[in-house]
Amino acid sequence: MTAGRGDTVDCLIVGAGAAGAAFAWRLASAGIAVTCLEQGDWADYSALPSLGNDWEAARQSTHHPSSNIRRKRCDPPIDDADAAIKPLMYNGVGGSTIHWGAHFPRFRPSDFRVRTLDGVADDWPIRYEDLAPYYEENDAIVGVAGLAGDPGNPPRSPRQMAPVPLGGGGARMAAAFDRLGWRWWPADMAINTATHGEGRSVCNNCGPCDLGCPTKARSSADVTYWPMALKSGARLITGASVFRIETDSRGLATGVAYFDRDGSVHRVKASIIVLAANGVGTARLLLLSDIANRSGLVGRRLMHHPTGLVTGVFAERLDDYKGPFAASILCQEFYETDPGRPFKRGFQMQCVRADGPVGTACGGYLPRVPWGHGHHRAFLETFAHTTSLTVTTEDLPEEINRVTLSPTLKDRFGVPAAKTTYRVGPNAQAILDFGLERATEAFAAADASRVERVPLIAPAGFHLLGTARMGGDPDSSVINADCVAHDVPNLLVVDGSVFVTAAALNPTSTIQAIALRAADRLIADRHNRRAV
Amino acid sequence: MTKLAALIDVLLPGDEGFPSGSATKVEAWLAVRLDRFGAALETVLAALPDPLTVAGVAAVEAAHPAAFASLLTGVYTAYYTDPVVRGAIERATGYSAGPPQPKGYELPPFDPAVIAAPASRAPSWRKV
Repeated sequence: MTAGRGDTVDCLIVGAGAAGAAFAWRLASAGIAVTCLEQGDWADYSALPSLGNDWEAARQSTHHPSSNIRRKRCDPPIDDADAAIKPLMYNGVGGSTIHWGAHFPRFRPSDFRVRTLDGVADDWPIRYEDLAPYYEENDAIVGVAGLAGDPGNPPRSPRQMAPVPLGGGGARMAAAFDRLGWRWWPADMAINTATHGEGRSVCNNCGPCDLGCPTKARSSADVTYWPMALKSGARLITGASVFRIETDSRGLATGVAYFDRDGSVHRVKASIIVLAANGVGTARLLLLSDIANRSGLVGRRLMHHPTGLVTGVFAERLDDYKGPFAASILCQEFYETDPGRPFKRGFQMQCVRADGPVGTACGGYLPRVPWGHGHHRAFLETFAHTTSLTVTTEDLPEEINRVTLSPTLKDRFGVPAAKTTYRVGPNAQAILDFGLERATEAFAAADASRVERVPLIAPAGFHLLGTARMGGDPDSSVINADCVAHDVPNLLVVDGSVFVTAAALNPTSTIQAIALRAADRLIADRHNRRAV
Repeated sequence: MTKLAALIDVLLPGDEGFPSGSATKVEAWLAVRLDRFGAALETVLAALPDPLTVAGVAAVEAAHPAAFASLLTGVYTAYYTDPVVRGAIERATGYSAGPPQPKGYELPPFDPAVIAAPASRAPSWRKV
């Protein structure tokens, strides 16, 4: 196969991450010829850092979550000098699920109605009920470890697998939440605690999911959707950096232009183009192509979820380096709006585990261990003695938080890089302040001997949302409820860009549910047109 | 002993069953990562007093905080990935000296009894 060069394809997807993979599978399963262009490559599971003693060093360089620090050939630079939270992403087949912690919560019904309920931001043009069947289907494909029956969330089918082990820290904080009378629940995680999915193993609690999972127990789109999509006939071209969506005189998208690894330009014509390049990459591509922006909102309303961190040090050993690093339990006691609090909406706390030796010494969850006399004593008092709570806030959209094209920075092909501008809004700051107090209170209830706070984690822009929002009005949104661009009827956006608001929850399951729904709407639309 | 080795020993003196920094791979590790740490190394080494004292190193840290922090990250990373140091951690804590994979760790499975209290609470999500 000549990798689609010079071809005309039925449906062309840009980006092979969580959304692009789900969308590709659904269309290919329906018999539609689909091709996906991905600027990165397949992950190499034979050479993942957690197989070697230098695994923590890899976190600082080759496997850092920031593409600006990894600087692989497939990582376009990002100008983030004016961003209080730095955007993070992975470019490759599977996208940022290659490095993620695999939290898999669903949004709540109220998350789609914040204007109606709380008088802030905007309602979504879709409801929780519209996504519920897609959440269910997505969960079954990806495989979720968790527990149905959480009184804090709408009912759902039994989870595919039992929750991940609580570990020393999770057990400690669960007891503390019980003491305080706060709601908590085992986190829904896209991690195998039992066999699920072809070629995937069971989690052995090694810890650093963010470095890639050699057992494939932790899900990522390259081991869940992509094998199914390829088996269904989808085509995937790696090393293809799309830099322009091309249009005709009627304003329809006609195809894309991309650079291959060697810098040669190729063009692919397509009947339908689907952007799934995340909230930064999709906005950048739309701005580079100067399309779909009648509203002026392309790139605006960037949301990240400002996150703080509180860590407790305990006299006894917790050994919380064991287990999936990002989660065990979560507390949503303060999730919904309470008129007695000085902010709208709320936050969730996730119990996250602990660093290895290098992370402990260099600092992160806790301040760096002091050098000099007493260093090793201090190291031994903290290593394996900590657990942490993240405070992840609702991030209301602001037009000043945005993605633009950098006036100075370019990628290796000479194409303008994305620039992110982001500040923590006053509502999110008030939530953070309140949330850090509550997390500190939880550690007091847990009898921590010492508590340390990180008021805002700057390198925590994992969630890239809102930069091509959906809505019913073409003057105040970029795409409609079916993810079709108002201005370009054969152009869809299906990644986190489409989010109207961010909720206070990890977005991947919602991103994939939206992508599956958009694919179904597209398939139905094609059937209807043929029937006419 | 080189000036860098002397500095490493001030930063990481051997005690509590751990080797001193200069007895590990730190210096060699940094030497092949000058692209990351070379500038910081140059700045810190140029500012160090002779003879080296703890107070003198602290003064360099105060005068060049960014460079010092960068170099310290390199020193700590090299030190705590050294097999000898990993062995010391294992002896002190039981933490395996080897990498996380392929062995992983044993953990007790999730016990459903722990959710008795949260499961008994009234629904808290808003119906819309």
